[in-house]
Amino acid sequence: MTQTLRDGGAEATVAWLYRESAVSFIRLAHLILGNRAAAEDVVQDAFLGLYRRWDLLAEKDKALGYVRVSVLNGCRRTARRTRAAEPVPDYDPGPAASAELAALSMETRREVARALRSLPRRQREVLVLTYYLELSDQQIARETGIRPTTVRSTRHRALAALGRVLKERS
Amino acid sequence: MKGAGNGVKDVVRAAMRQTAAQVRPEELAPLYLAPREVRYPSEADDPITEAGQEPGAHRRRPSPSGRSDRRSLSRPLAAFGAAAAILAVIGASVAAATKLEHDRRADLATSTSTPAAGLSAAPPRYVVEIVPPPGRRTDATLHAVVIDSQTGKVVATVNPPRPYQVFMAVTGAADDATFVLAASRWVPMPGSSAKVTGPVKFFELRLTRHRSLTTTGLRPLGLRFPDRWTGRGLALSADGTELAMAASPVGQPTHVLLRVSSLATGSVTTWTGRALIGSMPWDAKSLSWAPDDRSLAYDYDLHGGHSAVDVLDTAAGGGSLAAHSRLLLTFTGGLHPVSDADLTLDGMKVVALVRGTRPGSSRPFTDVAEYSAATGRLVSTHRLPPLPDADQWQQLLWTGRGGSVLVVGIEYNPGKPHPYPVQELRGSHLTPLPAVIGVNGQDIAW
Repeated sequence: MTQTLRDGGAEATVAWLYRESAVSFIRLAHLILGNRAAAEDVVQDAFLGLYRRWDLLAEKDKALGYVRVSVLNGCRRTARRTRAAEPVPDYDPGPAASAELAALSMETRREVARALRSLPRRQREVLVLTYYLELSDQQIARETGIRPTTVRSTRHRALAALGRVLKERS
Repeated sequence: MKGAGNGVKDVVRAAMRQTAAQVRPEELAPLYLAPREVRYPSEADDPITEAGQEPGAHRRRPSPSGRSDRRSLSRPLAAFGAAAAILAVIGASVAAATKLEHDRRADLATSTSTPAAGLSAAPPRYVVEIVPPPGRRTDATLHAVVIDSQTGKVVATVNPPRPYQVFMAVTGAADDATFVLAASRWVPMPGSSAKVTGPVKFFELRLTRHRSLTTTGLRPLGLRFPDRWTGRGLALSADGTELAMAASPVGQPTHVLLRVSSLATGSVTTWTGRALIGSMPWDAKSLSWAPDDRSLAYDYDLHGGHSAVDVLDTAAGGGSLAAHSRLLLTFTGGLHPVSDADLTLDGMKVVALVRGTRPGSSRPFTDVAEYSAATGRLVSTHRLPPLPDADQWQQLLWTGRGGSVLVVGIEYNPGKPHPYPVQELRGSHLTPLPAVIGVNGQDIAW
């Protein structure tokens, strides 16, 4: 009986979580991978994994945390595959969405996107989690499986490398 | 380009937000989950009940004089949020929606709507849109602006009364003067730095026109909204006396509670059932009233990714949503709704924007599709011109009498030329409104 109830809840809950949060996860994966289609695949896989493992999830209220870890792991797997098989397409920053962002020229945004893509995977991940998701060092450490001090040093190195790349290109 | 340090951080942050903004919610591909074997509880077992109401019991709606079986609006609805109810509704199944579809098809013969005379065939002049205040680009605060659709100018601004910080949904009556807004405030999400919307309160906004347009201020409505529930629809009846609201518990969107509250008498009637109503949380366009102020159309997803529209007879008493609804139409033939379906002001048709693909072509088209409210059959389509960007979507903003008047539009970037302004469809002619109206906010009501 309990199993049946959980099954009934899994489908509705996972479908709802997907509707409510998939866009933000796709954005996250898109930033890390620089590839929209691959990002969507990774997120779909993560939610399907959540659905399959729903009964094993002890703390259902932490389902989104599980999805986020799955998405990050999926991005790593995808990055390994695409590095060997095909180049990841460039970011296409698209039109400015606000006056604040419009102040950043299209060329500058493209440069940042390219420079970001040239960074090692872990540095790129830490930058995305820091400046897009605005997670704390402790949270990033938990998500990526590294120590908080390593998070800080990785971010420091990433910003320095990014600054160098942008300076060279400008 | 700024050097390393804060300059680089700011540039990185801005570039990331810009790139992320490319992924738009309306482009989200559906997630298909293989159905599991579940037990389907009967409607009589439905555990979502108000305090004092037996499961599955039907209550008569009070007479206009309000003498019979009236319920107080101030009655707490905490019973909905009780843990027992939350646990119990888990036992229900989304697949029951499929069963409901078959059950309701048998009841398709009767028509609910009665054409009403005197209803406007032109869109209302005043529009209420929920937007961030000028200069702010986040949704930390969202206020409401009243826009004159003939000039495009903001003629009034209404802030959420403290402690509320955001308006979440708005709906309007047919008199072009009465609106209802749902307001909430941000509260921390347990165990996270994120914030979510907290308790919800409803307010009535009235516009008065003497020498110039003024607002009468917000009148709080004595309606309670259960904690940890999400709104799935909001609709004010044409005469402004009945407010319909759909909601579901957080995490269980297919367990819907549909409630009609009389703003005149204070009576409340409730239906419960299994249906995923509305395309987004607080989707104020998922519900639409017929002019008889009795028939309420709602669009919902069927199990398996299809969409359908049902009509609820709100005068037949509360209880089971399925028992008091009849299936009006299902979207078939390769046409997929990209907007909420809207019952026309005269109740004769259902209008929706649908997307399909021509045989041998991968480029989708978008049609304004009109369905008969009596038979559910597709009666006409009007092809919309392609949008500048294939990823953009039109919206259905308002439908007039007979479905002959429609307003559609898309989001655009403020400060830039509008690539596709709000337009009005009369017959087969699509013409822009006299003024450019932006449709960029949280919600909008015409």
